[in-house]
Amino acid sequence: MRKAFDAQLQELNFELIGMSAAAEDAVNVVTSSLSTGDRQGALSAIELTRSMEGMEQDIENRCLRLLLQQQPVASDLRTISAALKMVTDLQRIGDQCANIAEISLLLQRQRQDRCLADIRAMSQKAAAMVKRAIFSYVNRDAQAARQVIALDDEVDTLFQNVKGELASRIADDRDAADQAIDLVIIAKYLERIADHGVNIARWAIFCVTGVLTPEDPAE
Amino acid sequence: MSEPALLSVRNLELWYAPAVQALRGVNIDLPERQVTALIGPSGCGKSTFLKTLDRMCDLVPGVRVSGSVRYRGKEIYDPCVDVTWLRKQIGMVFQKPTPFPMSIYDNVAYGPRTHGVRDRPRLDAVVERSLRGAAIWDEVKDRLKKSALALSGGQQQRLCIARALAVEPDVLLMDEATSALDPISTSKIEELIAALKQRYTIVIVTHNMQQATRISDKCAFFLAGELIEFGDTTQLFSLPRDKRTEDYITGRFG
Repeated sequence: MRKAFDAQLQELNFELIGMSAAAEDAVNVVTSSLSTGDRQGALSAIELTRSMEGMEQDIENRCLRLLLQQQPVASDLRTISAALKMVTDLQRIGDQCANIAEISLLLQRQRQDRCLADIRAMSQKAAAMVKRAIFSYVNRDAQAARQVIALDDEVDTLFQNVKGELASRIADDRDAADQAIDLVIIAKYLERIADHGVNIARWAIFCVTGVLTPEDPAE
Repeated sequence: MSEPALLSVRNLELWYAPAVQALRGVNIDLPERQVTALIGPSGCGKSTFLKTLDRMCDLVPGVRVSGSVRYRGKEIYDPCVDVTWLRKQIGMVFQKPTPFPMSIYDNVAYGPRTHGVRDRPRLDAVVERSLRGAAIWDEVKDRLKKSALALSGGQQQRLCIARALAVEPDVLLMDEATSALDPISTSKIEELIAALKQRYTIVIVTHNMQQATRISDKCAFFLAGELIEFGDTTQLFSLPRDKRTEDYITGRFG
């Protein structure tokens, strides 16, 4: 029985890695579509996020089946309950990529925006956080998960920079306000994606230690 | 934090024969009015340990016990302890229902009669109270004079619990008391245990992990005669301290 159960848990790992890879792709594709103005990029990001919905259902079904069949305890229970929580964060990342893609389709003008470099940096960091968080779960590596949480500060700093820059632009140039507001929203989505990476890392730590760290360690 | 210990066990060792040691240096404090579950693989000593608590193990020829078991501060292995008194305080329910081949009423009245109760109205009251306490009164009140052997397995087991309650014990020991029962009877006994712990201290041996998580407050894991881990059930099943506990409860051995 234990062998079959272990094989199922391994499958669960593979499914989570697959879904996090899709999330990472969606973040990267959608942010590059911002600077290139590539409609196709935005549309394929939306397509990716739709495929993530199926992955979410598969992972949830597997988790619920394992809870029913194995009635897991101890580390097994933590593994499965963490997966159930993480899959929701991954799905939210997909939703936010879809939202960014919708805005990207409307952003026709002024692709050469100085803020896009910072937004691009935010997206790369956020995508890396999500990927590393999932691997820290799969490898039961609490130390690696803590490093992911530490990275969130960098994303937050970039977000503050972008927001500051765009706020002063709105004040100076009414014509640029529309696009500036759109870019602030996009940056906020990316900042939230990084927060989901933090959540996933918190569940990875829980899986190893049995203790769920507070959302904000300062609290 | 620490609840008062009703049964306090120190350095308990038990040999069935000179070369057959079944318990090794067991130290444990069983808290009052809580359910403690004893878990572990077959042959780990959990049932033996249960039987040391009411000195049922004395009945095994050649057995040798050392160490200390204190019940309410009194050493139960002291030679001057009256074992009949001890077993009145500490009742036992076994894996297979063991009704006596007599009427339902006489099964329950057996213990009080042994302890000298002859007065009929008093016996009637004890029988009703015990059967109510074991959640079987409504099912048998109209056939108290019928043979206990005609009851279903689940009813027989609740009758055995009623019989144990009739002598007004302090502690109930249950050795896999539901393993021979169907899920509905098992569920009734589990609900009964939850109700009984308001008044009694209960120690159960179970092979059913889910049952241990459902009904016990404390849980003790035994392995090869040793007590490996003892603590709050929720803690033991969510984050066991010892790797051997983790391996056992997650089905990696045993």
